[in-house]
Amino acid sequence: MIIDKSAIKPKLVHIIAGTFGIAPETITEDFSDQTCEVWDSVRHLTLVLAIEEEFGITFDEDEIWNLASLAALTEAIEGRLPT
Amino acid sequence: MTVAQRTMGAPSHLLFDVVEALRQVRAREAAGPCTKSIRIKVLRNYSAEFVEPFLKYYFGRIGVGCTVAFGGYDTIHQELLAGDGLRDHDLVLLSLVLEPLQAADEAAAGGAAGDILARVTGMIDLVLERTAAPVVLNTFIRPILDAEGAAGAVRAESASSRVAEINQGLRAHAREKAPRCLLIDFERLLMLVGLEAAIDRRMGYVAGAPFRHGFLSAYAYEVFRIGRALAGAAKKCLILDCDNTLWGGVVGEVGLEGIDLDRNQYPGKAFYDFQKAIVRLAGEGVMVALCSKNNLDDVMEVLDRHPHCLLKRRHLVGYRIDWQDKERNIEALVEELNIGMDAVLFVDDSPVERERIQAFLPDITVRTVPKQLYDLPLLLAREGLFDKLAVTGEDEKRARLYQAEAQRREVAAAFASVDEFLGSLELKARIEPANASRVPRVSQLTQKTNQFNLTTRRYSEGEVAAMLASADYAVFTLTAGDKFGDIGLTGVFIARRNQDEAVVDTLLMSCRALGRKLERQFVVTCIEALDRRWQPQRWRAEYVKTRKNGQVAAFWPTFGFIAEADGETTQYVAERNALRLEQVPYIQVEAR
Repeated sequence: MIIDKSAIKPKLVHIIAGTFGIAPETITEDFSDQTCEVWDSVRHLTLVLAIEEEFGITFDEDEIWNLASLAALTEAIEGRLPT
Repeated sequence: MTVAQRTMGAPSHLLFDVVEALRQVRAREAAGPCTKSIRIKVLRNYSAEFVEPFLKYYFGRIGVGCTVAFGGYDTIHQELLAGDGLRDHDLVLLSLVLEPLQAADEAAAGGAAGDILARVTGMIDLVLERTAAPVVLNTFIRPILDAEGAAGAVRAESASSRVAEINQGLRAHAREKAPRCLLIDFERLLMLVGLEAAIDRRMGYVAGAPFRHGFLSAYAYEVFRIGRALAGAAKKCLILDCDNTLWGGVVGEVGLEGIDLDRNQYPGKAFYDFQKAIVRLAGEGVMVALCSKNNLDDVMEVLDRHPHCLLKRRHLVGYRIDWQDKERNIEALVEELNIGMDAVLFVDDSPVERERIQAFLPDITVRTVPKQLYDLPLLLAREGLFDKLAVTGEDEKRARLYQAEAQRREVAAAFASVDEFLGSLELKARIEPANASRVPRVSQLTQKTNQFNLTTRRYSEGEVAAMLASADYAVFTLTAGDKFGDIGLTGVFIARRNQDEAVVDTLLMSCRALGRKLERQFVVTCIEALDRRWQPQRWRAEYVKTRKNGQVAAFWPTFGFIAEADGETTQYVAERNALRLEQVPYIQVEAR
């Protein structure tokens, strides 16, 4: 599956908003588990799995807990998608 | 296979997409609270939290609110011993995986099956002691990559054999505790969704969460099926179209010989197998009826004479086979059967008909015959729409009872007044305190009676048993009959003593017993019996309004009860000597 990199961010924002139950507008560039109150460990894993299912990728087990910001998630997804 | 592919090919009744589930749950919650709700407690030894959005999603689709509380991670014993955390739940899931059950010193060897089984059954018994709610167990999954291979499958001490042995013991224990215990077969769920959508070894290691969304969605659906049956929301009636539903082709055009219906040959075999499923449901007490646009004689010829037609007239509780609009005919059938439209599943081959009927009758459930006919035989099994928690003797008799009812209606037409007709029926009512053998039927009636039900309180078998054991509760049953045959155990009256008052907690009547004034005699006999036993100063009663029980809104005042407070719930009170208790002259009462 080839995905245009510019399409990643809106798709990701859509998944985060759906998982956390928040408005997409509140997901700004600095969005992370530090800035988002509802980002707990259960929602984190739900989010990670939902992203994997949506993009068709699999994260490594040792990076899963580090994917706790919009920036980290975007970077990890970009790194996994075929170009 | 990529992860994205794992979410494809989900069975049609399951949703694998957790984000979609969460969105729909939120949308429903934003629309306001549900009138019905179920409270589920999950005791677990792994991270089971991801099941919650799916549980809420499935219950939400039928308008039932769902709250899920999780016990601590692998702290089941501590929690159970600590006290009463289970009391306020309608359903308890004891959700276990095998690995944490093995003691450290056994881990390498895998643990003896007997030791692990004893640990699990001990836990089950502890849970059963602390809740009256049904307890849902699960089997364990055998190692999928079995190091011992085909030789190990033969050896009793191989890892696979050991897990199979534990599962067998678990099943036997659950059977012993049935119907309090239910068992979800995890290996079947895995087969259903496929390994890739079921298991995530990676998440098992890093988060104690070995199951993927696909598996948890399938698990949630099984729990939902149990909850739906518990809430009395299971379907009771199946109405079927004929041409291209019960057989292939249009019988009016191709004739008896020309339709596709065959025991051996596809596609006729698909219809034959579908009929097999229908007849099985009829045997379990589901009301089966036909509604189609045909000449009546053509259809009856198939039922009576086609060598491979399994469905016969005697399986039917009614039919409307003519050229009128189907929604009219369905309405008439359902009224005759005295059930709610939401208890009906209608199956038709035409998507247009489906749209039309759904538009006219929004509460009915319609399914269409799948394009791939090989999927037709599974149509009724897939969603479990007719699930009940236990098949009772009453269920099995029901189809016969409704046929007798049809006869009664024919006789009724010949009488001038209702009382004259009722007098001719030779009605008998046996009214007696419930004993232990009645517990399943009493519980079942509280769960599924919606229309003639003054308070609609749902009671599990455990709760009914507890009332039987209490001196402050009285549970009466009504078993009725007439010259056409038994009507069966169709009424429940539950009262509670509260100092010098007696309170009617529950009064319900199965629809098939209505229209004979049996309910009036039932109330009179029960109140008189309890007057002697408890000698209360006054009686209290309630009417709790629901969407379906409007017919009993004005029931209590007819006995002399006075409304105290009005609202969704109306409270009634009557001094003992102000009650009007009149015997119904033509009912022969046998009271104990």
